[in-house]
Amino acid sequence: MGKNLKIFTDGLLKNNPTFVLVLGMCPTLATTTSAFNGMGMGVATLFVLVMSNVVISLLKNVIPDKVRIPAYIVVISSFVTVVQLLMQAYVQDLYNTLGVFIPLIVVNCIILGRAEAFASKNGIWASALDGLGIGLGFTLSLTVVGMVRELLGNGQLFGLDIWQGGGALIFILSPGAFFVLGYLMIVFRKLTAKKN
Amino acid sequence: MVLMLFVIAFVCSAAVAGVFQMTKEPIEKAQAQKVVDALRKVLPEFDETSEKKSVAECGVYEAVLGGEIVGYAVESVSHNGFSGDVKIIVGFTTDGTIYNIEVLEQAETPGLGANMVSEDNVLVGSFVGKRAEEMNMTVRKDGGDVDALTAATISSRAFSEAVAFAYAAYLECAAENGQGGVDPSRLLPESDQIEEMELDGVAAYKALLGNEVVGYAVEGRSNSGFNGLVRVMVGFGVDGTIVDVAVLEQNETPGLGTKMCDEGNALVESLKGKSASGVKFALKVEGGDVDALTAATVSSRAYVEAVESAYETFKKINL
Amino acid sequence: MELFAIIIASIFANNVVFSQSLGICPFLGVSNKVGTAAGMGAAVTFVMAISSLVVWMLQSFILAPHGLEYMQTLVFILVIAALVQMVEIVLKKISPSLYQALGIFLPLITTNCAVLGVALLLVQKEYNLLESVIYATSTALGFALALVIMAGIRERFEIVSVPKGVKGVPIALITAGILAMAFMGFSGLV
Repeated sequence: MGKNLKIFTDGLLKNNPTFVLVLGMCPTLATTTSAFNGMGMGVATLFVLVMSNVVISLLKNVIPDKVRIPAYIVVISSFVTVVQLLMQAYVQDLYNTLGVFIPLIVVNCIILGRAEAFASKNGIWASALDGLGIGLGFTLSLTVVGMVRELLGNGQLFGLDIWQGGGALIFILSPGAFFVLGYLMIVFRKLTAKKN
Repeated sequence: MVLMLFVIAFVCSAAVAGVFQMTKEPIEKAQAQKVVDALRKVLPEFDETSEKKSVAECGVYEAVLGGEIVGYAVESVSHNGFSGDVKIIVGFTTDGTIYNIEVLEQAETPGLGANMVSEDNVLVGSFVGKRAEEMNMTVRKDGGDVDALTAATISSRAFSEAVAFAYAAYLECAAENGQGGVDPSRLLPESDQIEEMELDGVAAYKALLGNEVVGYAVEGRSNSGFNGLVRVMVGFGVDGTIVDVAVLEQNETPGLGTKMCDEGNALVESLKGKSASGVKFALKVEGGDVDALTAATVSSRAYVEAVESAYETFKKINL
Repeated sequence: MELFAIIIASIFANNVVFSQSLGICPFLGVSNKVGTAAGMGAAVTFVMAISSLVVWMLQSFILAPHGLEYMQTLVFILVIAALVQMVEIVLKKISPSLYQALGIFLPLITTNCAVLGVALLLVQKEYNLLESVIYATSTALGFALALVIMAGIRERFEIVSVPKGVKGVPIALITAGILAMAFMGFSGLV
């Protein structure tokens, strides 16, 4: 159990996909215009990550080694399409806001990376936990980036006014995404460095 | 090896198709619910709406109250948003006034373009309550009448474009139902009652003040516009004075011929207040009394022809 | 004129990297040297131009007529992956020198989200064939431009002293932020 717990927590901090591995930068920058959007994107990715990890770990002995990458891509893109359809049916506003970035979960290097590096070598249970850990780490990072941008750019958190009169719009625009992520990464490094 | 890949691809596609079938109904339901909610907001009170009709690439709903059409809601979409489509629904009352606008779908930047969905924003505000025909539906930066959202010109342009599409579809529908889209009272001398008249093919209204006829508003047409039909509504006093002219329909070149719709344009200014019997219905360059629009001689000529045809009709009914 | 507007908009005003936040991974990954950045830019331009053509045809002749739009993601990514493989094989046979220059970048392109992103966007924008190819090519040129500018700046970081915690990705992100602000100036163009 201790080992499994470690797999899970590693994904959150030590292997945090955004701040440490620097993977999946496109959705991190593009969809974090508000805390809610960032979280929505994170959860969608989490779902795809866990499901594809499970399925790929299940199929790891069936898939021929030479065509494993195309096979992974097929599995991942199927789950992405499923997420896309489910979101369209039940959370249509979020679906419209995230737009083209939902299908783009397919090319999020985190997912293919975990499939190749972890799920293809480990059991179902461990793969699911790995997906959950990394996915939650990703969701958390996206939510934090979204919160900072929403607060500085709009004076709101999750759509609630924190102060009146908005903020510096630049943080909502794409330059702000680069700035916030860059500075947060410095802060994250500083914090984790101290722990060690 | 290849076979295995095929099997995986096949199973996955089958699974996706299955989910598609399962979610098909909820997706349609969610979209339909959104439209139903929006209809209540963009239209004046109504009992029921017609089925969606497809007109000029837009979806049109006719709102009916007590058996009579009281408004139109038009669903339209612009593909030129900052990130993706901007889909809106625009409500028109029968005289062509924009009653309200709701955004159905957008993915613009939060805090900027996405403000088009917030309450009391300037973008929607520049349309609501306005008479569509009097508006130039482009943002101020492009010379129009629409206040853009702060730092969101592209989103505002897309929104305005969608409203313009909706208006075109509305005009087509309203014309089919014989509703011209102009409130005749503003073309007529002061009156306490306006009656619709039965005439062959053209719309006409009689204005009464204390049982006495004070004027007529008559439709006139010309087929020789730069892009076909030009329809106008001309208000006359009983003595034959031209009170005002409004354009009901035109397809002229934007920025040139379309200026005939603008308030105080050269055409309407050279006709307004004149006694129709004394006006020579031709452009000044052709020896008449009417100033043409800059670089739009053909459109101007059609406009004058349409006004003249209205005057001919007026002479027939004002005995 | 319309086409010209598409070109200017996709290279400058709506630059994939700075304005649309697409293709960030290769942007951060291969922008250390101007030479490699230019090579990657060229490879992406090549693949994007071809993939836009193929994707447009697939969409118009197969997916849309059969109501299979929901399969878009699955089909497009497979087509792009296969295409990249094919380009690699063909280049190796036809022009070994070009393969030498672009070869190492090709496998990386499949997971460049700008390629799939552009494929999905050109369908969404309902462009015709010519517009699609022009749009994809100029978007890719915008990507190459961003990559080369960034590489030029990052080469300088090698010779100046950067605080330890800021080194690497963080300073690159902040630089990209400043560049993105500069690119916002182009938004007045369209």
